[in-house]
Order: sequence, then structure tokens, then C-alpha cells
Amino acid sequence: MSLLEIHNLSKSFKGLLANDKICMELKLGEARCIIGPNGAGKTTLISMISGHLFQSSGIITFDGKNISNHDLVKRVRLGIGRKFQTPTLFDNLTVYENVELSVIRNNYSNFEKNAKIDETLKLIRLFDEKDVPANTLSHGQRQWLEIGLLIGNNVKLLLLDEPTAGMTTEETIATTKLINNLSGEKNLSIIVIEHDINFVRELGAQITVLHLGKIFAEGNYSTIENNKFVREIYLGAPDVVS
Amino acid sequence: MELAASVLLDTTLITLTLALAAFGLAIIYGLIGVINMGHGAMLTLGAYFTWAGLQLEIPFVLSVILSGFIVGFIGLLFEHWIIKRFYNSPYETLLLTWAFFLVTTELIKIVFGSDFRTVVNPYPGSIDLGFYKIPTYRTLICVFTAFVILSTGFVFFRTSTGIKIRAMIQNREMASLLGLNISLTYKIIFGFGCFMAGLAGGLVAPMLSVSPYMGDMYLVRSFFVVIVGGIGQILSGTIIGSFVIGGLETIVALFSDQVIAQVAVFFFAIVILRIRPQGIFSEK
Amino acid sequence: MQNVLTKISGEAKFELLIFLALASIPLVFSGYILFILPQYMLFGLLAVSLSILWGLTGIISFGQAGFFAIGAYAIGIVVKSTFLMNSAILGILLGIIVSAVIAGVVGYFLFSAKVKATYFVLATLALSIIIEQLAKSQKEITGGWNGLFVDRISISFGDLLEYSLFNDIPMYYFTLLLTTIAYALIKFLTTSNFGKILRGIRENEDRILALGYNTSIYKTLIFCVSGALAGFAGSIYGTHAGFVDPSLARVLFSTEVIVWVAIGGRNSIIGSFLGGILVASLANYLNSITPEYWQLIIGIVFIAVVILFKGGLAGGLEEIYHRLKSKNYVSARNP
Repeated sequence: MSLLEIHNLSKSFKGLLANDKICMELKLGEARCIIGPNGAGKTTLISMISGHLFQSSGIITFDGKNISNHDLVKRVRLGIGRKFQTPTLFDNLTVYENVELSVIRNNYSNFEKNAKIDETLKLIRLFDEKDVPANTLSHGQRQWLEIGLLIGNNVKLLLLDEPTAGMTTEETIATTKLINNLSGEKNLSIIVIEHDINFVRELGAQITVLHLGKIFAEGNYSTIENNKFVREIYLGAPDVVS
Repeated sequence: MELAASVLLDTTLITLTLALAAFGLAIIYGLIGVINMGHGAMLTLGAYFTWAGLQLEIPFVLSVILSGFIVGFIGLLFEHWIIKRFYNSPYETLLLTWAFFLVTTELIKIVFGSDFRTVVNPYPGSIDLGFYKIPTYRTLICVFTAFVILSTGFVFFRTSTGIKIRAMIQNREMASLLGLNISLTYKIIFGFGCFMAGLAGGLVAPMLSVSPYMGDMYLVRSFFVVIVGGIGQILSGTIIGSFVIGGLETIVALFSDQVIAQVAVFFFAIVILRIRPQGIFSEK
Repeated sequence: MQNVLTKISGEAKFELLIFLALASIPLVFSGYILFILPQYMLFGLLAVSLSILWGLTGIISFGQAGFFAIGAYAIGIVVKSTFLMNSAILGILLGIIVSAVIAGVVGYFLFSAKVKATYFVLATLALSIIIEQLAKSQKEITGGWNGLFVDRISISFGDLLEYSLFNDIPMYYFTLLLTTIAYALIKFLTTSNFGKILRGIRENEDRILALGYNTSIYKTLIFCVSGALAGFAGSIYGTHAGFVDPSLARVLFSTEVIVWVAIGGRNSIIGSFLGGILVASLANYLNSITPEYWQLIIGIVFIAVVILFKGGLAGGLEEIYHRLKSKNYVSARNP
């Protein structure tokens, strides 16, 4: 059964169609990359799934429930978590306190809570940094910490908006592993918006190409790579080519 | 018919007087986003300087203008030394302008004393319209207010500086690319807002008794004028806000007493804050 | 982690020390100080009621004096009008409940609409003025401008035991006991998960929301607690001072609370508590030696604190403490 089903989802801003009748399905444990030039409507789509924006029309079903009219908090509580484009963290709190804030929403016992925090910290490779304030972390580490906040929150669906932006090559590779680990072992469903084509290739997930608010192409990396029209729209937006 | 006309005239007088008092606040809040909690103290200062000018036998009009400039200058110094460092932290500017109010009020008490002063009405008498008499002085003030608001509107919409300032509200970086010196513009706007507060204080002085706390009531009402009218809607917003706040207060006072009227207005303003934070008539 | 633990226990030790000192004062001193200190303790609680909003959650309220006045009027009116046995306890409870309900209604009304933080300040300012105006105008209930005289209460436990608070020492210990209990409850609250979430709201409200916490509920709740605490302090103040008048609700008094907390240290509960006690007594002292200039001095100190020492006295002390402890300490609290 699909975890997430999107049916004919549209969003218009003052008459401008940012998303036009998007249909998409995502299975439990499946990772999906969404690529497309600037202004293709990628962030709009993610925002409608996370509940930061409401659709103009269409239906979103999650875990068998119609969540189209659920607000942000309700969706988070069902298990949809979002990482923003620029990491939003509790900058002056320590890494540990950051994760703690996400974990304590579930009324764990003290023992469970500590176990969950430690597990999350190890997963995002920040266990050794747990007592430093979040604002002293490197850019890449901040991205991980934000993913950690979502894991600690017990999400089923992760929405990652450019998780590798500003990362070094090593950090990008580690992130790829992390995401594969989350979808493979932890059985989380993941939607990743990405610009970095190398990352998309390494991740090896199914790809959805958005263009002008519509789904333009779908398939695995080699199908997309060989799609003439995809190459054309990417050449039209040089900053995306890498 | 005559009753309607007199109510209309009365409302106009109330609206424009309140608009005059709120204008300086609306400018600073609307253009540079600073909640000037010192606005009330600046009104009070203007009133005291005008009183002092009259004691020195300076003519009333000149006293008022001088008061405006002195308060504007004090505002400039305050901006230059303190406020300009805190434009990005709304809480700090709020607390610091509030501290300005505290310190200024104390200084006024020390320099001028706490007792009431009177500024003699320079234009007593009234204009007789046959069915209704309107006080000359209040009429003059309203004409002046209309003039100030219209000429600010002219600067704002018809001159290149005005266009740049409007661009600045939309997008600070863009405006600096257009060649606008942002920090200088902030300074001038803050100074102008304070100048207007000082001027307004001097002008309302003959209608009230001058005391160290006379600006307090105007402070909160001015905020509500700005909120009800819509922030950034400096011209139409100030008028609409003053009309709603002043009008409501007058109408409620007809049926109950002054205190209940004030309570009702404040209550109304809190409701507006929630349901239409962008202002009562403005678009989102 | 080790660092955090020692820090917490260090602070707890300091708090214990303060309350022990307060408890032993009547053994050493007598006279005016025993009369006036309970009042300052209540001001300390009032400061704490703001600090859990401003320091902990990042919300400023200009209306704390309003809640304080509600508490004071509540006990004044109840003690005057009822012949019940426990009118004192009823009065205190009423002060707490009315303040909490008003804070809850206003808070939920504004927070649920995501009203901007600075607008909330203006709304609390208006709330405080409304309370003051009502106190002035409802003469039959509140005594209007003239205020209301409140008798020192007696606490009775059935017919057997009656504890009169007419004398200074019983009143002192009664106030201290209640202050300690209230302080401990607040302290517990701030270190609980609830407190942690509030700190999260202060740090990054969008993130807290995106983690699935309904922030408007949390903000409403803490405003409720803050109002209740201010009302509680006010109700005891009412019976202690023996007199209530509309000036208690003045915006200027709310401002004084802001000054206490800013000087004491908004992020620290004990700092704010001491700020309330110390600045209020300093103001009292300055008022006696230089009645003209004391408010001016306090205003200037306030400006200096806002510009230079965001953490107030508590923040400064903490900074010094950590500098002494380790030279490469990374300030986690006051970056």
C-alpha cells in the first residue's frame, strides 16, 4: 500500500499556477528525488505535503487518511516531517537539547527518551558534538541535525528540501548513506528535492522531474539522463547543471 | 439635516486632531518599523517647549515650530546614539524608546515640575455657521493637519525621493541599489516623525492642560490609530484609523461615560489586532 | 553534560541560599525591614511572572501590573463583602483564577491568530489600561480613585486554629512560605518538558511548530500561569499593604516590573526574583534620599542594561563564573 498518495494537486498564486494537477504515489520505505529547474514548483509541492501551504485543489492521502485539510501540527503528528532549505534549528541550545525537544513530544519514559536521543545522535553522526551549541556546527552538520530532529520526532515521511546544499563532497556522500539507511533499514519514506545531479545519481532513487508546475518525466536515473527534453530544460537553467 | 452636519463637523475635528497626534508615530512605524514608545513623551515635550516659548514671549506659531525642531533634533540624537544599532531587533527598540519615555518624563518633572501648565488659546472665538459654531483654533489645526498629510503624500508619491522611500519599504537592498542611503534615510524619517510629534504636542497644548503625563493617553490611542488604519498606510490609514478610534470613542461616550468609551475603544482595538492585523480596510 | 549538571546544582544551591537567608532575616533584624520585605518578595514573584514570559518564552507583557491589581482587588473585595470563614483563602483563590482566566482568554484570542510579538505587547498595554480604568470607574465595587482598605487576613483551619497575620512576623513567614512554594512550582515548571518546549519557542517558533507542537496552546498556557502568579502575588500584597488603589494597575508599574527583570536577568528565574527584591528596595531607598532623581536613575540604568547587558545581573555573574572556570567556555546561553 502507498504511504502517500497525491491526486490532482494544484496550487495557484494570484492566478499563477505553481503546481498543476500533480499526481504521485510513494510506498513505505521508498525514496524519491524531485528535480527541476528553479521555479518548477518543487518547494511548493513539498510545502503542500507538509502543511505549510494549502492546495488550491486536489487531494492528499497519507497512511490511508485524507489529510488535505489537516493543519501543519496535525500532519506532523501523523508522521510527516520537513527539513527546510536553510536549516532551522534552536541555535543557542546544544545539539542534545535540540534532539531532546523533538523526542519529548512522545511521552517516553526517561530511559526510552535517552535511548532514543542517543540512537538519533549516532545515526546523524553528531554523538560527539552533543554538548556544543547548534550554532557552532559546520554547515553540513547543521543539515544533519535538522534531519535528526525529524527522526527524533518519529516521522514516517521525510521531506528534505536540498539536504546537501553547501556540503563538502565527503559530507554529501555521508548524507547519501544516511538517506539510504533511513529508507532501507528504518523503512522511512523520503522525498528529496535536489539540485546536485551527482547526489541524485548516487542516491539511485526514482526521479520525478517537475517543469513549470507539471510532472515532466519520471523514472530511474538512466532513463531521466537519456531523456532529451529533460536535458533541454536543464540547459535552459544553467545554474542547475553541475 | 443640521444635526447631521454638526455631527459631521464634530467628527472631522476629532478625527483630524487625533490624526495629527498619531501622524509622527505612523510615519516611524510605517516606514522603518520601529514602535516608538517614546511618542507620547515627545508630544509632551513639544507642549512644554511651546509653553516655555510663550513664557519667553516668542509668538505662538514660532514657538510651536521651534518645539517641533527641538524635539526632532532630540529624536535625531536618540536615533544616532542608540536606536540605529537596534533596527533589526524590534523588542530592543521597543524597550529603548520606552526607556526614552521614562527618562524624558522624569526630566520634564525635574525641569518644569509636576503641576499643570496652561497654554493660552492663541485664536479664541469660533466660526459661526449659522446652525453651528466651530471653534476657530480647532478648525485651524484641522486645516493644518490636512495640509501636512497631503504634502507628505505629495512627497511620497510625486517626488523621486518618495518613490525611493517606497521602494525601501518593499525591499531595502533594492533601494540601496537605486542609490538611496538607507541609514541616512532611516535617520531622516525617525527625525521627521519626532518633529511631527513635537509639533503636534505644541499644537494640542492649548486644548489640554500641560502636564508630564499628557502624552500617555495619546500614545496608546495613536498606536490603535496606526493598527486600525493599517501599518504602512501612512496617509489614508492614519485618517481612517483616527476616524474609527475617535469616532467610536465619541459615540460610545454619548451613551455612557468617558471611561467606558475608552475601555470600549481599547477592547475594539485588541479585537482588530487579532482579526485584521493588516488594518481594518487594507488588503493583505 | 557534566558541565550542565554542575551548573544546575550550582544555581539550585544559590537559590537555597537565598531562601535560607530570607528565612533567617527575622532572627537577626527587626522593625521596618520585617514589614517591608514581604512586599518586596511579592514584587520578586511578580518579576518571576514576567521572566517566565520574556526570558523563557520570548514574549513581553506590559500588563503584569494589571494581573497584580486584579489579585489585590480580588482579596480586598472578598474580604470586605463576605462573612465566610475562609474569606482570605477564597480571596487568594479568586485572585489567581480571575487573573488566569483573563490571561487565558486574551492569550488564546491573540496567540491562536499568530499575532506578531510586538502587537501582543500593545495588547497587554491596552489590557492593563482597561483594568486601571475599570478600577477607577466602578466606584461601588472598587472604591474608585480612593481605593479600598483591606484588613490583614486571618487564616483559619476550622474552629480550632486561627492564625492571624496582623503582626509583622507571622505575615513575614506566611508570605515567605507562599513565595517559596510558588517559586518552587515555577522552577519545576521551567525545568519540565513544558519549560523546554517554551525555550524552544523562544529560540525558533517555526521549528517548534514543525516538530508538531501547537505553539499557541503553549503560549496561552504560560501566559495563564504568568497571570495566575501575578494575581497570586497581588492578592497577598493586597492584604499585606492593607490598601489597594487603581495605581497598582498603572502601565508605569508594569514598566517597573520590566525594569526589575531586565536588571536582574530575564533568562534567570532567581535573577528576576532578586531583581524584583533588590531594585524595588533600591528604588525605595533612592526615593527617600533623592525623591526627584530616583526614577531618572533607574531609567538610565534600564537603558544601560538593555544596550549593554542583555543577560542582566544574572547573565553577567554567570559569564564571570564561567570565565573563571574555563577560559575557552563557549557561551551557550548568551551568544
